[in-house]
Amino acid sequence: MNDVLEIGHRQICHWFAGLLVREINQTQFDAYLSGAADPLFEQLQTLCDVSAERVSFSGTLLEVKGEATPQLRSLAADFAALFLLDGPTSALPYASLYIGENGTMFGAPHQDMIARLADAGLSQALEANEPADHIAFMLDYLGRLLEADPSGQVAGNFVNDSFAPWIDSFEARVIAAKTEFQFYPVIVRVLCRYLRALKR
Amino acid sequence: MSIKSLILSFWDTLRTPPATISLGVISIGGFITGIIFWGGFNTALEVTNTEKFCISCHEMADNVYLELQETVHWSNRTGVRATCPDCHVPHEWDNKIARKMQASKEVWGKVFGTINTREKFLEKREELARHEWARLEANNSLECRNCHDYDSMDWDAMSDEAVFYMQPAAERNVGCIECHKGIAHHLPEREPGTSHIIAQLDGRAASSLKGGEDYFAYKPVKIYENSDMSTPAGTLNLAAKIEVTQASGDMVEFTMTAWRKNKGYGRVLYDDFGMNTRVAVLERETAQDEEIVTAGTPQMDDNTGLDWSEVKLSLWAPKSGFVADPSQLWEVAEASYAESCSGCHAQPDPDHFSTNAWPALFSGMVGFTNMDPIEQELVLTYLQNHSSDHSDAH
Amino acid sequence: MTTRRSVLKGLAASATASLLGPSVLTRAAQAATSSEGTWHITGSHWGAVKALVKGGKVVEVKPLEDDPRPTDMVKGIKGLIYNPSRIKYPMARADWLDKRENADRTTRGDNRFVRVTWDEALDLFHEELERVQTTYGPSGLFAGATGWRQTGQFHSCINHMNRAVSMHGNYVKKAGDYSTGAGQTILPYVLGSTEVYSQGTSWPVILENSKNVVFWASDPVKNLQVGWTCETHESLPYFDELRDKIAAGEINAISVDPVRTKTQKHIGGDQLYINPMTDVAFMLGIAHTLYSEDLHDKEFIDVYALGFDQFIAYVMGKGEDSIEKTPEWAAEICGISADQIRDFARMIASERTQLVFGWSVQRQQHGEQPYWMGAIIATMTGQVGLPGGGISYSHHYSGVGVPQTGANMPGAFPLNLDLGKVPEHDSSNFNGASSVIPVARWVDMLLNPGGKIQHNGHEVTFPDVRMCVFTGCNPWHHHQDRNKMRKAFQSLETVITVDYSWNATCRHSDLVLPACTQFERNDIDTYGAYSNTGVIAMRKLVDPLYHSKTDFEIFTALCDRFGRAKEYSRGMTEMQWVEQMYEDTRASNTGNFEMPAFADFWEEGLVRFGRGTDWVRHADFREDPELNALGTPSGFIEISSRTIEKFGYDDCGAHPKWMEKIERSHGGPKSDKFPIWLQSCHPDQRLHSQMCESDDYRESYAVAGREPAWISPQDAAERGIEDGDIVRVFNDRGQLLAGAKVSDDYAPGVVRIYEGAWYGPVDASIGALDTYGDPNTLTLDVGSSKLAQATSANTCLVQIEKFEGDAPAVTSFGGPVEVTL
Repeated sequence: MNDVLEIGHRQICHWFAGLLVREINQTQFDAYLSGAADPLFEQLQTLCDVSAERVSFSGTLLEVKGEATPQLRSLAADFAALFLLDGPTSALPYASLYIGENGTMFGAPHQDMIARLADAGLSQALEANEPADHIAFMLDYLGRLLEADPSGQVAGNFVNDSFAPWIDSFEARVIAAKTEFQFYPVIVRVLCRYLRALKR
Repeated sequence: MSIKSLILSFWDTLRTPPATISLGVISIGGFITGIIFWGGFNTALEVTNTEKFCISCHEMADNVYLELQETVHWSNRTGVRATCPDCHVPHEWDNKIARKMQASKEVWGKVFGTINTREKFLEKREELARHEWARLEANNSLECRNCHDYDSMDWDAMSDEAVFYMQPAAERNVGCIECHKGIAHHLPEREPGTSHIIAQLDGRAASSLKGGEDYFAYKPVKIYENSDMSTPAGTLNLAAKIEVTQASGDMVEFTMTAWRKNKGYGRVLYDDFGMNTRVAVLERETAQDEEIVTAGTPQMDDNTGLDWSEVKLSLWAPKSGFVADPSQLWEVAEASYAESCSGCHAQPDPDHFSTNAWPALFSGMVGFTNMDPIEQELVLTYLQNHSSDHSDAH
Repeated sequence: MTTRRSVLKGLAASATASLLGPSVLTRAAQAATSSEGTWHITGSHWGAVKALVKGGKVVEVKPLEDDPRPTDMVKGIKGLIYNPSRIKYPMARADWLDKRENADRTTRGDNRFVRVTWDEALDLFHEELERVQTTYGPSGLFAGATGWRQTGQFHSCINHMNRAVSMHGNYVKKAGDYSTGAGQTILPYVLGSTEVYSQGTSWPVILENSKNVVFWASDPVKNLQVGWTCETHESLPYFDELRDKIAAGEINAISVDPVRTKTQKHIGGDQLYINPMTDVAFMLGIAHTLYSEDLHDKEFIDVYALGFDQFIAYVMGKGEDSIEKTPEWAAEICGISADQIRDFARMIASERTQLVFGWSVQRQQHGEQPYWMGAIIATMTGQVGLPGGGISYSHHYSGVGVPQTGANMPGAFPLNLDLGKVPEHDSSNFNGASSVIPVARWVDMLLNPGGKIQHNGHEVTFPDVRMCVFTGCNPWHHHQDRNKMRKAFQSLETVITVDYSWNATCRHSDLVLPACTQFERNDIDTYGAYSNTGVIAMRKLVDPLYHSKTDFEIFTALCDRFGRAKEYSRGMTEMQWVEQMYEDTRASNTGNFEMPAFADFWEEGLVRFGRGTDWVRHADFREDPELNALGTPSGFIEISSRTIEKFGYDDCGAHPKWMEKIERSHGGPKSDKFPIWLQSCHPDQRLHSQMCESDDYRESYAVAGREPAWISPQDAAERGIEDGDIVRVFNDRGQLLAGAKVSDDYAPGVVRIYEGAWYGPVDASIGALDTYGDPNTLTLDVGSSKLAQATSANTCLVQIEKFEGDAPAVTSFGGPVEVTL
């Protein structure tokens, strides 16, 4: 059914969204090892230089592969440490945490995203009651904007308004956090490069 | 309706204290002259043994017959229905005759108008009910057992709660009416504000007290120095044990053996030496009347340094207010304790504390519950009677 | 902006597509939300509140107009709901998930968790219960510890956890609690009731009759801000009346305390400074004065009390120690001059005096003694049971002293199995060990399975516990000596915690299940725990956040694992339960208190029962001590207790005694090395550890991002500490960082760090520096005595120094931290 896959902004955003909202599964991990992410990196490379990160990413995949304990468990623990727990070791992926009301969730960025999604006739497809300013929703939404308006003007404004104010802090916290592998920190670095490239 | 739901609906009835409750009444009226004047006993008995006969007078039709229609004995899953004579007329010939003879009193009552209005009937219900309960107690619930039989009960088909109550009763072959008063007609009305515990235990009251037997108060029972109730002697506490010596009308004479502390007026009686399980509070005059209360040699309780004396006393009490088996009290108390004392925390096992430790712990926490004073007394007595002093566990 | 698109085909396409996963957004109409928002009423430990809910979010929380003295803490409620520390998904400790009982237990607390689904989590919960029951039996499971659950009588998580786990099997339970362990054990022997949880004399009676009100280690204005159920704060205006009466010279209020309290400052009373932990010495000096000056009420003692002679012999130096407890003797220890002691004794004997004790003073080594002595002093004055006289141990708690209406209050979700039901595993074989342990000794239990201790006349044998279940309970706040706990936790194979926020207990658990907050569920509550002022509806404000669930849902689903979900829930929904609980309450109040139909109640939010009736504690006993006997072994006040004497304990004998502590400041043992007494009483701006995570609100009192350490100007100056400095507080047991708050409310040698500050160690090692300031990093974990085996948290000496260098970031909370690139 996926005989043909077009790779554009929509897919790249979709990819990032999935990475930051749920742990990777074995099929995905095997796909990464077989180079399935190459087309995504290549596509990204046309917009911003991610060559160094791409090398790191390959390296970290091999490190994970070489791990004796169940590999995905370690990656899942890294995922949790970054995106699910709460400590300062985490880098929770919600805009409200970094801007707006001091460090509480469901803040102004959440309300803003609620309004944007409602206008676009979209709603969350997750089982859980997550704030709308989870970065995954924002990225999915961004991908749709980019697809709908190839000029990138609308999307660029969205990035300026909704991502730019906080992705630096987010990236810094991801880098500062303790993880076993660099898988997620590298992904977040790539993401932030991409978002900066989209800034107007 | 299954036995399970029968039991459950029964318990539901008891849990929500109804303004009126029921009983297996009685009257088989509808005859202007007493049965005694009836010729041809055989023929007459066949006629009077039908429900049609029973409800031919409005006292039956408008009161107990209507009440019956609210119950499982009227309408149920299997379509088997109890008619008046199934429960109220003895199935054996000799008893049947005797019952008819007694019924003449109700018929007489009709003649003189003692129950010809709802109000009068309700007023009289207690007496009529006691009469019928006593009969069923005397024959160990024979009429009930014509249909219901312990041996035929399928414990697996019953709810756990039903088994909890029913199995111990089966083991002791307890008569059905001991617990199931009010199952087919309303129980006698209670004063407003009556504790729901009393309403619940009323269904388990002993109807006829026999000389030489032990009974246990299930509510505070006023006691007297004499059978005409002219001189109050005090009050029995819940679960107080009496031994009946003789019955006289609505009163019984009883003896009681208890202990008291030799500090103060000796008004408060406890069930055992050094144990603060209260069984009675006497009037000051009664307590100090050596003719009524005889005290043994004082013994010092090493846990407090107080002297205690054993006392024996002989007094009078009304017949109502006793059960034959204290487990009737403990079952109700256990359920109340488990529910009321687990609102904030897991309730401790009764044998986690001693008899003399419980009053303090209980009074320290009871304010958080909705227990009324009677319920408090019952539960505390239950805890004291099941404390570490009464248990092998500690 | 336009980029070249690439097109993949065949296998490459499907491999790359697999990386994308399903979209997180879907085309669907959003439910319309009102732009105005809606105000809803709900209740809390902090009082009744109304919340404005707009667009599915709580945007504002205000006290209900009904509240005469709202607490400042209402400001922290929003921060509880929308806190980044919320537990968002069921999480399992990574190492434990694969290896269970064989996992590395030394890494507990290192934050390596993975997300699991609810189904996986509940299967794990059930599997572990099964494994422990079948391998070790009921003595392998400890599920009894409980705490200040969120309010709401239906969702009360204590009841839910106990009922569900009891359906599966039996387990080790606890006796007593941390708040009042020593008091609730000693007072039944002395005054015949736990007293600590008893209703007290009504405030109007005290204000009318008392000439002196003595607040003994009691700070009601601070502690009455919170209540066990929805708090009404009706008690607080009485302190304004008291303030006015003090100003008018009608009442004299004295606070016996090492610290100038919030209450004292509010009412304008006097402080009688006393050295920490020396209250018994002071009271013995008072008893000596009352006796030697013949001020004691001999008739009252004779009629109402037992054991005076034995006690007074000890006071007068005729006891085993042959020391006469003169005011001069007492002054040496307690720091109050002999003349002041005599004056105090004369004052309480000559005028109507209400003694009001707090609870901190019994949370120390020999904590039974000051409570017992207080009762004796009150008895010697002969004022027990008089209006505005005698003694109280509860007037700082949950509105005690507000006249009670007598109305019936809502029941609760059943904690027990239904009648006749038995657990799946119905073994009662505890392998020779005790099935109930004194709660404050559970860490000793973990460290010493099979060990024996004395407790309240019994011997307790510690069971070999392998698994713990906690819910609505944060032992990593309320237990003492964190580093001892870290060691003890290594003996546990499995720890399962249900909570809504990542507190330290969750961090030290193996499986963490997210409960929603009380603001995300429908419930009903008592309005006024002691006053029975009314019944309050607790309307759900928003749906459970993230993947959290109500305790009811969680434990119903757990019971479904062993086929008993329907029995658990009785086949009823949340709203059916709430409505039934209301209707039961309504029925039980019929004829006495009118209550509207449920629908109206739910709309209105609150039904009130009017003003209650004035009442005097112990008055019935005073009126007729025979009929209204106390619950003591004798029925009388026991100044000496033969029952306790027969236990033969060296640390709690026939009558109260002055006993030196393991460590004591102001010249006591170990004060040369650690000269400062650490007091860890109940906080002013939290409920125990609840709300500590509410970031904005915490910032309103934190110092340099840390929990305040209140310190005297002298101690600060000697150490070069200034207000606002980060300080290191330490002893041989541990170390923490806190923010110095210099205040002359504190005497030299006294420092206060409120309990409930979230533990945030720098790492998972034993001895790790706590970054936020949890005082239980430093406290002593020994039993108060063999009688109560209660917590001794307030027997604790420390040293303080200014922290130099880069302070490590606070690790306790989920809020943002500054990251420098």
